[in-house]
Amino acid sequence: MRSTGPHGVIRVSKKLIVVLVLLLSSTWVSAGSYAFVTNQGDNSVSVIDLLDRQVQATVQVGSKPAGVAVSRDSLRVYITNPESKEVFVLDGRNHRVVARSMVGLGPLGIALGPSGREVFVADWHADVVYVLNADNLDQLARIQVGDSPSGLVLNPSGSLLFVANRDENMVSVVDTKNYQKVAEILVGERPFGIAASRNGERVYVANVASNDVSVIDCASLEVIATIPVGSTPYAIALTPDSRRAFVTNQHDNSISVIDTERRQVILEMEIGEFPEGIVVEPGGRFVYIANWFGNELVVLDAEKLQIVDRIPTGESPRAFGIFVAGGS
Amino acid sequence: MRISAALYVFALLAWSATIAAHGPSRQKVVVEVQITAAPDKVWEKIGNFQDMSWHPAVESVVGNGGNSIGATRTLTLKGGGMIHEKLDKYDTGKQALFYRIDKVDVTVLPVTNYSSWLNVKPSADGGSIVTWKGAFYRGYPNNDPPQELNDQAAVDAVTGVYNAGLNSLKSALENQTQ
Repeated sequence: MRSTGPHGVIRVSKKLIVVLVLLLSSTWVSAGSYAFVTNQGDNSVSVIDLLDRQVQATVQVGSKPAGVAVSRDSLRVYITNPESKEVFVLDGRNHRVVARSMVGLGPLGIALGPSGREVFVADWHADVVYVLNADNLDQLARIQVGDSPSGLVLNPSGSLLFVANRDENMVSVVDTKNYQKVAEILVGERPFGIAASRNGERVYVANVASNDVSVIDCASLEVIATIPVGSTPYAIALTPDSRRAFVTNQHDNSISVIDTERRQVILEMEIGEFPEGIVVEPGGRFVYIANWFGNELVVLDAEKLQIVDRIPTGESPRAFGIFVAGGS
Repeated sequence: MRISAALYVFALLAWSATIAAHGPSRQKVVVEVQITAAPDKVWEKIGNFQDMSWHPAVESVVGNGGNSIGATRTLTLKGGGMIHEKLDKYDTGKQALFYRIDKVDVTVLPVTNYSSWLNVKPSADGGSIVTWKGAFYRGYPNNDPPQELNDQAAVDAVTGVYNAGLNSLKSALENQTQ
């Protein structure tokens, strides 16, 4: 491999760089990692290979797909279709539709527990959350929550479900053992997206109308801080070490980056038109952001805070939920 | 002509506020027009938030706050109907503004949660490209909307408003320069 001449040295270095980059990237994002982006404008899901950053498949689903949840083992992908009132299940490997079921009046937000056995679906119109068997979509329970439930998230142990009720400015907390409500927490105006920190300590809610994020302490179930962000914040993602939160600001075409210890925004950066769904992959290296108006998925380096790629999606991507396996 | 049809055809319904409950699927409309006039000339015409005289469907504008963030305006439409709007962003350098509808009767414009961008960019030939973009939900927030308040009705109405405004702007500016 050693070369004597200067040209040889250059050639070898280039090869080495390529090999190193490949090795490093494969440790950041493992092979077979996909983003499942719901395209509300053309009733499809873009399956994006995160290693080569290309759309590998486009799957037709129900009508106006919005919510998405991917199982931790990446074998199952759940998609809500609020207009056709259906939940679809895709096989995470071959991306085929393996099940579909009518669910409520307007299924929107969707989340999986850590066991992957139950799937939780928020019904925007009926003000309830359904608990479904993740294998066959049979209904296990029906939980009355607040007005216009949207974002759903479970704490890492799966013992508590948090529901953002957009038109009631309130988060419902549900005990997942008995499906009973244990708390109702007043937050900012029009809470929509919601995320839980991997350390189990905090839940963050984006308040669309008050342009801030409410920080909920998971032990006391109280709001312990309200952090002003950009205009019309929509969804939130957290790094695996729980130190950074990223918030999409629809009307600012930006994201706010929050230092979760100092509880303040350390950077607002432009990201593209009308950003919505956002997730950090489990390695913590990249943040993925769906730009609803821009019809693209942005890849952001989570540490350097630089955009590294823009991947075209279908029409009007929402990607509302954890759309990468193991993401947060 | 198309606008007045879209604007006045519906029966009376309640006011809808910007952040009211809405349907499940946000819609978008983008209309672009190429104008043979310098960007500064075009921006002079459309860059004043308190002046909508360039739009053929608007009878008059009453407002507060000029072009400052948070400025408001009420458009009175020809033949009746009002739209209350608020300026959220204003960028003289980029010749761009962003506003939202605070209040409109869905019989006037069948939309809810409407926000909009208007901007001018130079085109390669020294002229301008004006882009008008809207993001909004349909007028009927619940399932199974009546035809006049469904997604298509919302998209058609907004498209009609944008086309009429931009076509009128184009002909006014191009006739002026010739």
